[in-house]
Amino acid sequence: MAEVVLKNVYKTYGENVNVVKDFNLEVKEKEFIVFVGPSGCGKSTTLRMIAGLEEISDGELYLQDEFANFLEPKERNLAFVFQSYALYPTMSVYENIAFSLRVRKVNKDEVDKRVREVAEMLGLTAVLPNRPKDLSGGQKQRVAIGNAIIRNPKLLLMDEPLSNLDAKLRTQMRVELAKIHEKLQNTIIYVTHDQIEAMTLGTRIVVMKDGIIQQVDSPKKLYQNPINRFVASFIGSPSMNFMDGRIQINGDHMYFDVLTKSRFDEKSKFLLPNKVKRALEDRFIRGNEAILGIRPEKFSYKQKSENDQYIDVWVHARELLGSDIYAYFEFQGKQMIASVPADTEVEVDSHVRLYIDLTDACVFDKETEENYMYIDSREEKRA
Amino acid sequence: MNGKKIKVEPYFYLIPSFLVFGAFLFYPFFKTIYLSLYKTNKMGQAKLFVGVENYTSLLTSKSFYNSLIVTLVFVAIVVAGSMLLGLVTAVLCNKAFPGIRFFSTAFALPMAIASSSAAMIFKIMLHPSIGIINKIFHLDINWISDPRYALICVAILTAWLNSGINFLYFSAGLSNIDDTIYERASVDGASHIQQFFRLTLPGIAPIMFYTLVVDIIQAFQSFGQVKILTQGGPGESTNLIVYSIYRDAFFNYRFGSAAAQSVILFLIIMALTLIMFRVEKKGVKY
Repeated sequence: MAEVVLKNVYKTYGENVNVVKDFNLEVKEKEFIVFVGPSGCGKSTTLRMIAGLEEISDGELYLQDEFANFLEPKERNLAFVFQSYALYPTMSVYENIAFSLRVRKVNKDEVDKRVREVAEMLGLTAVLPNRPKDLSGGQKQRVAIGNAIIRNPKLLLMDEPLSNLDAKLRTQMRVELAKIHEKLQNTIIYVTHDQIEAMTLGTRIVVMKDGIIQQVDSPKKLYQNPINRFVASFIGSPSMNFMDGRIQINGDHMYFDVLTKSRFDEKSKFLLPNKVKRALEDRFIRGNEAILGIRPEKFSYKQKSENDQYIDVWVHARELLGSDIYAYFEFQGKQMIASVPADTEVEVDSHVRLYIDLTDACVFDKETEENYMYIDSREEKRA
Repeated sequence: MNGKKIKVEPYFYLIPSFLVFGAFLFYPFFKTIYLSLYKTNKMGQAKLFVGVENYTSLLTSKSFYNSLIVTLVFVAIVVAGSMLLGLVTAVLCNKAFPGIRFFSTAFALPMAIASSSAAMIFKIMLHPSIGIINKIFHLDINWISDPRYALICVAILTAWLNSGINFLYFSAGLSNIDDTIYERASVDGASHIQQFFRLTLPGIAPIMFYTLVVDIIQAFQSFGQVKILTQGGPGESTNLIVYSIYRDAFFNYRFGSAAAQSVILFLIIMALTLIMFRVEKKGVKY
């Protein structure tokens, strides 16, 4: 049974401002779905439409196979965790967690039992009598989650629940959330702008931009098989590097000729590997213009295979991140990042030859920015 | 000397405010207490020291007890009415809707109306033969000349007058409540009524307490509307303490008795305020 189905859902403000456009999604039971995208892409609005906090302008919403467009929020049998926690300031932590049971007139002993269970699970037992203002950010967040899970709702919606926490707490809460999902086995729809949260938590990720779904896929597939340049640059940290250029065919070989700024530039022509060549061969590419996308970790200071291409660049900055070093360089007027192992000797303000592994490179259409290398898994199955 | 020298300079800065306080607060206050121990001449000058006689005669006077009871009933109606009216209008205007500015202005307007002019308008509206109230409801009631209705009419007028400032206070209190807690409550399954009693009321409890104290004090001091509408009548049915003080002092020229009533009124208000603050420490928290 599908937990949530959205069919051609639109959210329109005023005359012609579409915040969400033609949103189609089917969420199955026990999935952990993550909506991710830059701010203003309509992900929170979509979540609020599912919760009933926002009216659906057009399209259909089904919850547990029931048409739900016009149900009141409380009739939808779901829980919502807000970004600002939305704790009731006049109530103790205990009452905050118990609230949804209290308004349903559940008997006192049952409420007490469940509140203590949840508090135990979230490590809140000691602060039950306190008021929200006396809690730390992490504790507030846990109270909000406690209130949401006490009814054991089949569907749990979370709107950027970790964005108000500091980095360390966020990582910790991320792990706890994953545990909670595993333990409760409910369906979760989670909104975030942080692609790391999306990658680590989601069983499927919905990447959105300007109110339109770009791609829905597992974290791994999104990373390896992005549908277009936006998804490729949004997923993965640091972001993918892009080069403008032309596809050239020379006999049996296919090259990517990087658009050079000055004619005296060094080598800027890459031999494309067979995998890329095959994907591009039968495609019509207007003016042969394309964008080459290379992940930062595909650059290397050492040659790893003889197929590796190389560029000579000027490294102007570096960042040590413990296990990796980010080397910042400029290539043909564009800022790029290489991510190399920490034991690499990266010198700032020096000329370096960087080797590039192009096996998993992406090639994007110059105009539509779609990825020529994208493999539609649905089509694959049909074929 | 070693820094122990008392600094005189700071006290100079206090002089202006102490002059004002002294002239308009401290002097009249102590003068009232002083007068309440004397019998006076028609000019209000203390002539004969009588000790607590002014008080004892008050406490044995039926008229004074009547004033007390009338005042308490009046205060109860005014405070309940103005708080309720202020709260309802503030809750109504807490949602955005077309024309909200007009309604907000209308609900806050009583603040800007002088009690005497409001009383004039009410006098016309309540007029037994040409008044709009009797016309609309097809009644034939002499509102302000009938002892059964006079007090209620004055009290409702006062409640309306005081509701404007309450509307303002409650609106401020309501806008302080985070909107997302209502969204959370609606997902949690709370009805609008549950939301109102569990979230809205506790949320504005501190400001409600403050308005309650101010309203009570203000209600005790109502004067203009009584003076214009009923002059304490019919009989003594609207003879509030403040009006009774005014009558004793400026019609009967019994300044001593009037001063004694003022002192008693002061004691009542002070006691009420102290009690409320004591209760507040136990009740309202967050």
